[in-house]
Amino acid sequence: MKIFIVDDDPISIFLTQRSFEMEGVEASIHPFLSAEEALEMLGKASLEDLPDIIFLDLNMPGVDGWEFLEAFEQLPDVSALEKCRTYILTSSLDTSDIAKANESPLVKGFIHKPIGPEDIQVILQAH
Amino acid sequence: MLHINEISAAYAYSGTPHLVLSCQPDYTLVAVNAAYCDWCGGTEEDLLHQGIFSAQAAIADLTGLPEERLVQTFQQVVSSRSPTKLKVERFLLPGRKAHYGQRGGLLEIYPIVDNDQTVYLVLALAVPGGMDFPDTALSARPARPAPTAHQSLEVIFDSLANVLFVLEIEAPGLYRFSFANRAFQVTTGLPVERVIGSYVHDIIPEPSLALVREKYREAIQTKEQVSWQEVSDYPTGQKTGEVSVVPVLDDQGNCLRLVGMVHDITEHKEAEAKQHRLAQDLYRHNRDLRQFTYIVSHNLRAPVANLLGLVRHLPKVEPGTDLFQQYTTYLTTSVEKLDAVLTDINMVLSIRDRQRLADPEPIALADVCRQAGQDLATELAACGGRLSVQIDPGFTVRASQAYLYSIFHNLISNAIKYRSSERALQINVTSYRTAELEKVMQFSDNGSGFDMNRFGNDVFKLYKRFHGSGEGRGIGLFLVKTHVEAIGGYIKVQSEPSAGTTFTIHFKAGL
Repeated sequence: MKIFIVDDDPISIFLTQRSFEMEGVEASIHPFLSAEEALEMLGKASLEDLPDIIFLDLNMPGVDGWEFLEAFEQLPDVSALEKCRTYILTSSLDTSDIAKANESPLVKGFIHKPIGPEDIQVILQAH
Repeated sequence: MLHINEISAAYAYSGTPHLVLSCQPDYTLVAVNAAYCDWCGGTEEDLLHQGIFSAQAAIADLTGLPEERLVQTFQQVVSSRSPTKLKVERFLLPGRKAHYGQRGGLLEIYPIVDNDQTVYLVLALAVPGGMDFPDTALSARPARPAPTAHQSLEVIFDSLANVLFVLEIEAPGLYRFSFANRAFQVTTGLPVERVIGSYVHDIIPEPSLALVREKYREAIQTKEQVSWQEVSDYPTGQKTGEVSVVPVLDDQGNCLRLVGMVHDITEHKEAEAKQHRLAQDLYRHNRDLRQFTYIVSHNLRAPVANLLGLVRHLPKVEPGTDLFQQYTTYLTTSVEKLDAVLTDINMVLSIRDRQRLADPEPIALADVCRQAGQDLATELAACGGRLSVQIDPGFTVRASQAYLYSIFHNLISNAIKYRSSERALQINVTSYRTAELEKVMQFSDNGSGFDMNRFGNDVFKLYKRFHGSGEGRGIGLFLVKTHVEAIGGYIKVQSEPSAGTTFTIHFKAGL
């Protein structure tokens, strides 16, 4: 399983990677410290290289999580949209963020940081 | 001051079907009108010098209101020197035969004030359609000479709460008061005796004088009513009035005099201004609260979420290993980040609390700007940047030096941080004054700039960053804005990507 983490906070990325390790999930995890880098990679990746899961942070400098989703939708290759299941992974407790995420067809779930074993089980079952 | 005889005469002969009487504060009748005499079944001579509660005058029977209630109301009018009204549900018919219950009436009580004392009370019982008297009662009255119309009008004018005055036009631009009512004195504090006979330019202070003369001229020229709002300083304080003047024309259309009316809207205006201030305060607090909620749910929550994750993992990590070391390092970083956010919030809140304690000394802006530039000289030199201060040396602002310093320090640091990699940084600081005498300071750089459409709304928000480079915490420009607003100014920004950014700070006139 291939996972992309889009987050400007290295500690948060570390924790997500460690959580998957501790659950014994075998996955190749690629962190991106900015949405721009992740979009560039998604734009040029072959179907095989596309991740199964994207964990997306919302509050980032430059292109934020919402702008990432808009840009992601515009990608020419629709197969990326079908293959990648995107989860919002944010520290935000703002209820308006949850409502906004529910409106996006790309978003499969909303997880409050830190990600826990239960969250990982739910994601794996859905996969 | 009108003599009571004139009031009495005016009452007696006003053909009104309503009952009007006047008494001293001890309730002795001093004037009664024909309708009231008819109701009492007596003559004016019979009634004068009787008390209004006497068997014949019988004000309580007339109004159907208890004597205590009436006394209480009259005393209130005497002491407050302001008129009042009582609703009269039932009153007795002439001849006191039966209650006249179908139509209600209104008892109006006016004070006549002299030297701040209520000298007389005027009671008027208005009955819709008038009191129905038997024809015989009215026709039996002997004819007496009527008072002049002017006398009756004065009584009516003096009982009005609105200011009324008449100006004689003696020569072009020369206006003399020939009449002013009692409300004129109550509103302005100027004795009517002094006003009547005086010229307008001796009574109305500048700058109102220039305005009213202009308006009088307009009314005379257009031969039509002219209205405006006016703010004037009088012995009773600053007053706001809605003023109208109507020209009085002769047969040939020449304007002989002006009749003026002023509706005192001072209280209304004060209430309006207060409401505006409250609304602004409320808006600002609301905005702050929303921003505070945002900070709590995002910026304060982020290090806490990391701490939660780290401590949940820690029991399963073997102590002494590199991984354990990694966890403890991240724990420290997260706690420090949490502390930094709390410190920021505390600082921002304390700036807001200290808003009203601004240093009243005028401070030369150019000096503060140069000082901040000197303190950042090393950083400027390191990037080959230049700071050019062209602020007028006489450009001073009454504000806290620390806030002004913070504004410049943050703006210069910001310009260094977001300079363009393609050219040497050049900062220009200039000043000018607007037509409204606002002092304006402009701070421009030739840095990397930003897209106004994308970021224009967020530039000054706390913890908003636009550069993915990792530089900056997103607090500098927020502090600049907070400090500018604490001083009593406002800031605007204009920017163009890869051309540069200009910040414009307006300091309101009088700062």
